[in-house]
Amino acid sequence: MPRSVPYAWRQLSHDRLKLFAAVLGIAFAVVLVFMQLGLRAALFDSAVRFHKGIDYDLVLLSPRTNFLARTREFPRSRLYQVAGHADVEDVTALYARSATYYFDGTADTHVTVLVFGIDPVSTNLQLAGVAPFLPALRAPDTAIIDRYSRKEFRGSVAALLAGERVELQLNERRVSLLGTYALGTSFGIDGTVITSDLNFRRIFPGRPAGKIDLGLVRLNDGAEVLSAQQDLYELLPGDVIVLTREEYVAKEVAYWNSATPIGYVFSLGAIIGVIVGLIIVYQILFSDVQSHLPEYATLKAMGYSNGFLRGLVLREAIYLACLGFVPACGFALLLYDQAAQATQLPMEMTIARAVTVLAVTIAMCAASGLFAMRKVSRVDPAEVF
Amino acid sequence: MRAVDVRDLDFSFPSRRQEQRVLERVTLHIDAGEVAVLTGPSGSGKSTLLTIIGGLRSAREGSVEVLGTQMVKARRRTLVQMRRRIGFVFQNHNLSPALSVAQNIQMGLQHSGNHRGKAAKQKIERIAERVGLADALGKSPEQLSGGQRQRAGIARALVNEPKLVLADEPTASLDKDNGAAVLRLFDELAEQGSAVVLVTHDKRISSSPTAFCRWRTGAWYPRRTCCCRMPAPRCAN
Repeated sequence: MPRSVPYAWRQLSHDRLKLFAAVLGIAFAVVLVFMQLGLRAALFDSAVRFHKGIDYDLVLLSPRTNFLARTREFPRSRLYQVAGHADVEDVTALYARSATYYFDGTADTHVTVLVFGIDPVSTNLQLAGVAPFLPALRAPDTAIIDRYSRKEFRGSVAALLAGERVELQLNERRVSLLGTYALGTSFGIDGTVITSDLNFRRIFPGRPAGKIDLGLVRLNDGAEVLSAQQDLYELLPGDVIVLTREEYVAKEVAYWNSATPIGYVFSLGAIIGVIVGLIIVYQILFSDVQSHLPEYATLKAMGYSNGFLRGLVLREAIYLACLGFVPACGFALLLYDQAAQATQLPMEMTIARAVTVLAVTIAMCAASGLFAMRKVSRVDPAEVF
Repeated sequence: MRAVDVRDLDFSFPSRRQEQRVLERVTLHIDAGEVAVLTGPSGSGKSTLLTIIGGLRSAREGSVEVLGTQMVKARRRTLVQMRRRIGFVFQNHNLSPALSVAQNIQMGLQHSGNHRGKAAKQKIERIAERVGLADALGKSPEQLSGGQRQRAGIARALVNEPKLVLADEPTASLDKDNGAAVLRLFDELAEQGSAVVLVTHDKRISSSPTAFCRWRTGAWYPRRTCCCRMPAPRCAN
């Protein structure tokens, strides 16, 4: 029994070579969008790995702090003030500063490493893999290293994991590595090490002992976070701000999104990908419409409406979107994997992103179809006579 | 029953300098069961008249009643709906090469919503058999000869069993045998009660016993009824 004639699909698939070229063009644009969005997400996800990886309810920091690798100090005494609040279970002081790591022992071969200083006795820093090393970190000039730091650190990490004794030259100080923990890099941080607060001051001898970079606050079970935040604001002078986890994460993301051009560049790249896709699909559909004008005029003469013809072009656009999306998604997965291995950035394909890009692809193709349709609407059925 | 009733029809193509008058006070009646063959020199307005009768162009002056519907000053929606009731046969059949012959014929049904199911399949097979394409339904138009394509175009026009068929040079690209077969098909249609209007330059038709209307370059004879009844004698002017 006949079904409705699958006109759009038959028309699209009639010339296989042309269809292949069209799908390739759309897939290229979609991969471009995927990569830009992936890198943009990696920028934000990697920037807040630390913020999400440690345990706290509220964080104290200087209002002049930009982002994790560029913190500003504030008096340690603020943390003691906070510790006295009824809702606070415990507090942890955290020092953070970038040091220069000479990975070949020469001045020409160095990268920046972010050093965290913690109190190994009374810390609530619950970062994966840190706890077993806390007692040993009391020893002078010792540290643990992020095993997902960039390639410049991989030799040290590999040797350490092989059981060898490894030392790092950080600024003017050599430190022995005791083990590794898991964190990962970001656009602003090539690698991190964690050491004790005393060792931190050895690496950064100019740092005053009474100044810290971050104060991590854990609240008692059942305590209301927003209410406690409000209380702490009233308790403290204006040289510190008190943020919830979400606010701290949002602040970091906002910095990378607005204060640096990186977020803008990736967003622009994604938009350019969409524009490239729009042009490609428009060219394909326009030439398709152009070559089928006599048939469209005939259909109009037979009593088919402009709506039918618009639907035809729109269906072709949607088929193209779906056909281009599938290989593009697969290829993007491969590229994500390659990029993640090369950079240690969290390049992951999420369902939300895949759905978003599919929706963008369909919208992109539909918009191109809308432009191409103008030609269809102007077809004069009388011209077939 | 009157299929086409044209009275005092004027039609001009808009032009930058001055309007180009193509039809002037044309009057023409075609009843159900008639074949009207319109012939004449190029530019005399034959195809224009066909497009106005078929609702492809909208006239502003006079009266054009097709299958009981007034086409002059009709809304676009009315014209589109009227086209669905008319079978169009084009000189360039304009079959879609992406569709099979059966699907091309089915397109003649789809706008009416009667294109699915067993009845539609039977209709397609029946009309294909009538035009001699029963064995070619699964083929692509690209696999057909010129004559077969023209017959496929005719099958698409007739599958919906229209009460009025408008054909523009339907035999122009056909050889003698195929041309004769197409004309026989139109005769059969007329016998079954449809009205057929042919526009042609084909001498084989104008020299045949089929009645036809002829007009001179530039204009129709004013207020002259051109009624071509099958099998009536020539009504040459």
